[in-house]
Amino acid sequence: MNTSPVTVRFAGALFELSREKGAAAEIDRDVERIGVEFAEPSVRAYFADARVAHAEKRKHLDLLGASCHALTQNFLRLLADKQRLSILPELAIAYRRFVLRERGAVEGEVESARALSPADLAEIATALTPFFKKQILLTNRVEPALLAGARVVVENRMIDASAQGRLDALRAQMMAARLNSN
Amino acid sequence: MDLRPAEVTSILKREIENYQGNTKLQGVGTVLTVGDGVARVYGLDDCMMNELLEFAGGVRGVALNLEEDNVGCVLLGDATKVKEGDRVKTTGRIISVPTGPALLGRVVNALGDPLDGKGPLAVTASDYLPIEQPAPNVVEREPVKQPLQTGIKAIDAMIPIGRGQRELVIGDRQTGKTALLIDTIINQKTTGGGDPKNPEQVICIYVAMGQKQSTVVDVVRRLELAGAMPYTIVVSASATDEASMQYLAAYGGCTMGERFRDEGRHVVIMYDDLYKQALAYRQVMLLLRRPPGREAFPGDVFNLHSRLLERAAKLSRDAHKNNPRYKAGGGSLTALPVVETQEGDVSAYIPTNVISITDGQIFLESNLFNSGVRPAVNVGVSVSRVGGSAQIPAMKKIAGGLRINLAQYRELQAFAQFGSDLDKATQSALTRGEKLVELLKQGQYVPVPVEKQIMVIYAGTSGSLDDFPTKKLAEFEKAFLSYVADTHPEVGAGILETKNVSDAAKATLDKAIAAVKKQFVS
Repeated sequence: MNTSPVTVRFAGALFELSREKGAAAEIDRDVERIGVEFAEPSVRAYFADARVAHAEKRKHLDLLGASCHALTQNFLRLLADKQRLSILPELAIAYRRFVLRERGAVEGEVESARALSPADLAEIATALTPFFKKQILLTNRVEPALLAGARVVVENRMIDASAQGRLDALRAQMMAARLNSN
Repeated sequence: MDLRPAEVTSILKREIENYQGNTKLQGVGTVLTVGDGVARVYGLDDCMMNELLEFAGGVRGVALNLEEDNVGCVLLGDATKVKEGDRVKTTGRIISVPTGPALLGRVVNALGDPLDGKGPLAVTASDYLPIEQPAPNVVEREPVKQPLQTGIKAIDAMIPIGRGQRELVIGDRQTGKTALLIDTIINQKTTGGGDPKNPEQVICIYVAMGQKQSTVVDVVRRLELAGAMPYTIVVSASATDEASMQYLAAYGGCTMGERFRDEGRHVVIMYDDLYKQALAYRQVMLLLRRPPGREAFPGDVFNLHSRLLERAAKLSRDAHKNNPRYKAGGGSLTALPVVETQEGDVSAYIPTNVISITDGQIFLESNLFNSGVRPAVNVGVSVSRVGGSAQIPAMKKIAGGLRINLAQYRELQAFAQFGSDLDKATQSALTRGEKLVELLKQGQYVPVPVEKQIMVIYAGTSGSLDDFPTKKLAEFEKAFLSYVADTHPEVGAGILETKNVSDAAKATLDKAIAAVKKQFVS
């Protein structure tokens, strides 16, 4: 998922502050909650709507942050002051990357033709660890078009071990095959 | 396309046998935006500059902008097949084109894919070379010294082109730029009999960028009629192709030529034309949001042309001893770039850029063209900065005074329009100039071999034709050349062999001129 450099900078500042002030657990939880809120299309649409007055949005933002840590509340107010509310939908994603980096982990996705059991996922994750030298948290997505096998995407890198991928590679190789002139 | 099923099966067998089944780590990204032939991609962490990318639906692209959070690339195919959110894969390959003898006689696009319906190219993976290659360095080069005969009297006599030179052909639309190039290709048949296997044969590459497809078809037909296709490659990125293809075609064509050059062969490559190539480049760069400069061209538009034309070179005899890239020394790549001007304005941005890069220019003028002087070469402003040392001594001796004669003629012509009373010297200079201009006229698709050029120019500069009616000079030339070929074939052979004109040969020519003149009087 793409996150703009602005989002990454704000998220980074909040993350570092949460570690310095010893409020890691609370702020992590707050950001996760903001992420859940902003996953809702109606919430996104409301905050992106130019017809809604800025003061109105601020009021709702305060409401949203009411149960949050003081630093999170400050963070939300700062965003409102700086007219940077547009980064909120991506905030949780960017923030989560910082948390994962701290834990020495990366997230990845396994696309497979059939649903994989947690044991399978764990096995794939262990197999991939030497490649990435990090703990890998995998989620599974079923993609029947793969026919068989699996395809792993971790941090802009892909390992394609699906039947469809092999067929594609074979096709590309055959298309590239040149005829001998006789 | 002629394909035999048995052949296909055998290829499939080979491919399946050698199939690389092991999975590898690939860089992937996601399409953020796509439109107008460019796409922005998020991800692709270890993408290389100019790397070939693979989009969904088999569309290929080239990475051109590597930025902090995205990669800007141009699409080399149908952009409608690419959607936002599609996955993009790196290929680990820099964009490259097929090279080698299999391409001779073929019409290909900017990526080297055949366009002529004559079936796939017989090339192997090792024949693919990157389209951007460094130009030969100082020690690998040597000064231009061998002539490249264009077969055009006005050019070979006064603006000689040497092998490895870069000579710009510049002029407005409809002044005969492309015709000049075609004549040059046709004339190369004299170097090796049109047999591409003959090491003496000069290989020709015609790169059409942003041209009408009908023009390209016409060029190919002309070359086929003249039997020039067997030693020619036509690279076509016509006006309907993507802008990215139009600007990459020049580099692809150059790589095809360099392969022959590095094998010790002589190549002439024509870029028709670099102005349209710059326009295509400007389009792509503006879409990729590179900052525009003068006339909205990106800042590196000078480098766009200089790095291309620097690849034209005459290699030294020992080039292959120090650099394994060269299979043999002594090869050359001559570049004849074309720039179209608007209203004869040579001081526009792109024309001045290319003039400053090249080793001279052939300036074609629409006034001359319309007044019947064809090829419409303006001798006054056309120059060849290095070609003089490549001219054969015979031509140098005979054509030495030609340029001055013509310059005087043009100067006096302007005066003569005002006054009627002219002294004898002026009058004779005017007559001489008139005859010379007439003798330098030449039909299209009929290049003249160098020894015949020398004979005709000798007839003009010796003054024997000053009293001959100008209108009949074309007829005289024809009769004179066939007379010499019939009665004194040793003159032409002698010039070719010794590269010089002996006094005896001159005397023979004088006699022949007198004899042929007599035929016209009666």
